[in-house]
Amino acid sequence: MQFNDQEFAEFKQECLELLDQAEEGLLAIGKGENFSAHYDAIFRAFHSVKGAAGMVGIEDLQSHMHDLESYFSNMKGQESLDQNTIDFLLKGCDKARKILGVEVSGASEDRETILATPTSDSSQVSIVSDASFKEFMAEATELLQRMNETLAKIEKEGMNQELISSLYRDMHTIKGSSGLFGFTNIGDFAHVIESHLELMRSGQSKLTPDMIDLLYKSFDLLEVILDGLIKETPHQRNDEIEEVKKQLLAAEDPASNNTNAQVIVATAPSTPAPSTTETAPVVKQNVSPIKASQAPQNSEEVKQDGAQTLRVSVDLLDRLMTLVGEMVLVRNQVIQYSNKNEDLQFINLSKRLDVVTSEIQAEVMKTRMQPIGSILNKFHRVVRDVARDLNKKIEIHFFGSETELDKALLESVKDPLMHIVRNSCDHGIENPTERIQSGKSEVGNITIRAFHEGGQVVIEIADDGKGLDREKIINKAIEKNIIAPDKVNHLSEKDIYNFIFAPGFSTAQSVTNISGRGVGMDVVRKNIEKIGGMVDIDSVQHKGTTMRLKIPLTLAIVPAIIIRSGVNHFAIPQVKLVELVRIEKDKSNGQIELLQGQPVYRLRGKLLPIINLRKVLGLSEDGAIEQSPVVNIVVVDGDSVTFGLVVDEVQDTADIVVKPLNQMLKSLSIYSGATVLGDGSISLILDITGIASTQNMYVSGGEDNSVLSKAAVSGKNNSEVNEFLLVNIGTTAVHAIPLSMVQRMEEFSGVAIERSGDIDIVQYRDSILPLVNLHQALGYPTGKKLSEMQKIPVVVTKVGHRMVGLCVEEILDVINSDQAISDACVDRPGILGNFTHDNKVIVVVDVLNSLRQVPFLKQDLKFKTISSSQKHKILFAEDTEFFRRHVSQLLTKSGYEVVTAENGKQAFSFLEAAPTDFQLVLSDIEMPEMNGLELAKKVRSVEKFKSLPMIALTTRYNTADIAGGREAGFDAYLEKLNPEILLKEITDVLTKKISKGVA
Amino acid sequence: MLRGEEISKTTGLVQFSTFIISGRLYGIEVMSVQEVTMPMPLTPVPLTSNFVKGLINLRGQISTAIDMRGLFGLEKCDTDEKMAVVCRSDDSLISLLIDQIGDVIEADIDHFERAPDTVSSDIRKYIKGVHKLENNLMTVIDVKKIFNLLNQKVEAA
Repeated sequence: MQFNDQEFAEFKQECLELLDQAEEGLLAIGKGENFSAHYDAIFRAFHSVKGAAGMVGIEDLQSHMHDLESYFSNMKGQESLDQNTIDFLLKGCDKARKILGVEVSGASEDRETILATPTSDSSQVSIVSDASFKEFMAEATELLQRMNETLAKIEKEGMNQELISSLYRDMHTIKGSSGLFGFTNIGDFAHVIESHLELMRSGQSKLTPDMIDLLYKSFDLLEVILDGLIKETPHQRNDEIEEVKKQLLAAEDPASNNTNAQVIVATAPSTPAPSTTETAPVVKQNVSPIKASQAPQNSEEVKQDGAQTLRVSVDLLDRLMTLVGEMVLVRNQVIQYSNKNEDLQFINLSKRLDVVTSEIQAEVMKTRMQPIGSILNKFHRVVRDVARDLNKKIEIHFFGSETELDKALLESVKDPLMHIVRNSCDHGIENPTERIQSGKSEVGNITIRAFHEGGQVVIEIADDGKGLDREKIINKAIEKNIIAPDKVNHLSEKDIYNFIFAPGFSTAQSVTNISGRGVGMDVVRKNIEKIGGMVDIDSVQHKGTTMRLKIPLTLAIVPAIIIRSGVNHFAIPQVKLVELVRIEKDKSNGQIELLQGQPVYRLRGKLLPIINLRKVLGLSEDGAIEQSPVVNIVVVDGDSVTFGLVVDEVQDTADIVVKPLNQMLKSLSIYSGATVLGDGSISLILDITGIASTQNMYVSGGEDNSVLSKAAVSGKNNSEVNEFLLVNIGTTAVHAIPLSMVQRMEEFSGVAIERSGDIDIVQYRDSILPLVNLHQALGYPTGKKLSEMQKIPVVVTKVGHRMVGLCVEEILDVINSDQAISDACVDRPGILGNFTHDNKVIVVVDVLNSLRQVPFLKQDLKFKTISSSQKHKILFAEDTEFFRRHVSQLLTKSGYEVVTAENGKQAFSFLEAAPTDFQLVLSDIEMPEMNGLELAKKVRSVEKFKSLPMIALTTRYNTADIAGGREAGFDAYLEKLNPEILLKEITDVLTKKISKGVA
Repeated sequence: MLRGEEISKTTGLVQFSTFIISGRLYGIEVMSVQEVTMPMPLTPVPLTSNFVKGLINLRGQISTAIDMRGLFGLEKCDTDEKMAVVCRSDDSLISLLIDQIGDVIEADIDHFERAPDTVSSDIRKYIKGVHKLENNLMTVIDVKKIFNLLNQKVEAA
């Protein structure tokens, strides 16, 4: 045994102390004190000495103490002890001391048996106190776990004396203590196992793989029995136990052993295990050479036994944690107060309070921390069993199993981890022949790495198997109706891999008992998210799959940043925080731009969707980012989307204590709780995932991404690029809807459709959405009836303040086109024109006009003709013929008089020729000769046109453009292809003008 | 001292914490009231119902402030500085914002009556009934009902 002198001295010291305690107790009883009052203490002392002796490996002492303990336990319940018995026990203590002394000096032969007579009466059901029963249970469970680990080691490294001895000792302890508590069935079973181990230890029986199986099985059964005791429901596996017992006994017969040719060869203790030949130079927790790992492990345990440890209930620790949380809050408040205070003494005191509180917090957190290894060790066994069942060869490796995690979290991570590991074994790792064919080593590897990263614990489960099969997942996803076939092309690898988290998803060809029932990964994700964690997946075909679990260290106290929006302060957990971006107007680090009216920011070349927190909170109506000199963006990670949250101010970081919100506020998904800040004020904690979903970042995630990525690819700020949604409406031609008219894309099932009068309606977001079959609205001969279709893709558009759903047969794609729209072949009012894309003619739908053909919407869409008797005259500059015609038609229809110009120069000449004729100038930006900006500047430079309303009309613009346009003199900036807004704006501008004129 | 319920069993007397909202007298059984607080700073909760005035830091506990005028559909009061009657249900605290706090009074169970049907249904769903005091009528608020209805109401919103 590898103990240094000091450790041995500590052990000895402790044993002597314990024996002294026992002796004191015995003497007190001898003096007539109550026996039962001292019973527990004496018993504990004997038991502890026994345990310590076992740990250090002094078997003489251990068995002596065991006998002493058993004998003593028979006295339990007696009123008193007679002097003879006390003498006898005292002699036992002396004997123990003697062994200790002798052991140190190196000779232990002359041990005489002083305890020949007492044997525990196994039929007697001992009355055990609840506490000691629990202790027994905890101890037995720990021992079993350790034995399982040891056995795994033996299996891996071959048999060696030390490991077998350790198994033997542990089993002996279980036998001893279970006999003590009167659990004869455990005792008997343990005895059979023990005697078998004894044979192995003495070399009479050899260790075969079958034997290891048998041992594993017997450990399992022991666990079952123990479980039954805890739950007070007797186990139902007596037959199995008997069977195993029989086998164990049979194996003791050396003859039967010879039939097993395969014997695990013992490796010398000092040689490293063969599996360490892999490249990784990192310390392998459970694969390291025996000598190195065994000795320190044992010495650690001795030390633990030496240091006084207590078992404390988790409840108590939880309460302690809550209180510490409160204390942290009070501390924060005191500190804030002291900052305003000038009393030096108070400031000093509060500083000390700060330090002490932080330390308490850290220490209390530590009490709840457990190394992740405590759950990982089980996995050796799982992987081994699964691999055997599947006829695969799999090894599992752990790195960083000393990484610590809050106990409660650890518990909730256990099952998901188990599931992932089983999945890796089943789906990930190929069978040996396949592996050899693909040039890998026969043995598959699963590696679990745990480490700290950014205040979180990351657990990585990587296998070197075949990786996720992209095609298979896609097919399955389509089959399960998780995604429509036509949308597949827009998906990123990550999107596809994420499908395996969908409920009911499994790509396993056949359902095995290991995995493949498809009830797994969604639960894994749910459980991890429940504790505030995240699951990430990465896979390379033929190389392997890596799952990454990100787990917060603890739930109770969360580091967060405090931000301000309007007058309100909010906390954002730092776990969700990616980075902070500050855009200064003067600096050249970019601007927030608008993409289809939605703000985005180019963050290192990638488009980051922007959400204004003010808008989320309903503090300002539109999502427009104010033109302040500085914009603060908090880039956050809401599971599958990363987006920027515009806040008014980033204030501070703080450790916050999460408090749940009142029931009545829980339905607000944008908050995850509240906390008290240092100044005593309350701050709501923002739920980033909730915000993302309220802003519909998930509803059409796939489509959104494709729009963004495509826009990023095209990258140019060409004002003539239009975006269209391509749809199939059951005709031969592909139709396109200008994306600016698309609010959302949804899919309803035919059964969800109800009717009101002649209108098809569907319940949608707490209101009723009227549906219009685009096919009919465009006046094509009748096609399919809505209620007959199984799935109806619907494009939701807004008419005035009203949402209308346009039903199509299929949503195909989103495209960019810089092609001119030609209206040469327009035969009906609902069609705007055609353009070509990929050698196909695309028909552009005029949404408003097509809806005007629908009876119930006619009223809504009647253009309000201007009430003023005077007909307004509008000057419209636009170089594209199509738009020129289209817009002027639209305006004329609404009762305006329109004069068109082909460029800015022409427009200005018209204006100069008839200065008083026009009430409004409408202009494109990109034009030959003189562009819109130049036109505006020129117009404004003339005194009499200073207050002439000017509106810019273009396809894509960003905030910088708007600013530039305003500077040049435009009153408003509008998108082409959205006549609704155009008309409204024109009316607004003109009425404002009129009212101004009146005033 | 006897607890409220015991008093009511033995003597028929119940103690009420009274307060005034919009000039009318209301009461809540003292056993349902945790405490009465002076006006405290409120942290507004954007997007919630209009009668949820915000959150109050009550010695480290977070309490949700309910504007009683808003809840009862009465006209708004110009001041936000209001005293609050704090009630607890299970783990949640609510602070009912009132205009003015009154005395704790004892009322005889014999003088209790169900609220007449003419009382506005906005208010009636939150009340138990009315106590006919010597020179006044006291509307008795049912805190349980307030909790239940609040939870439903906000969820529906």
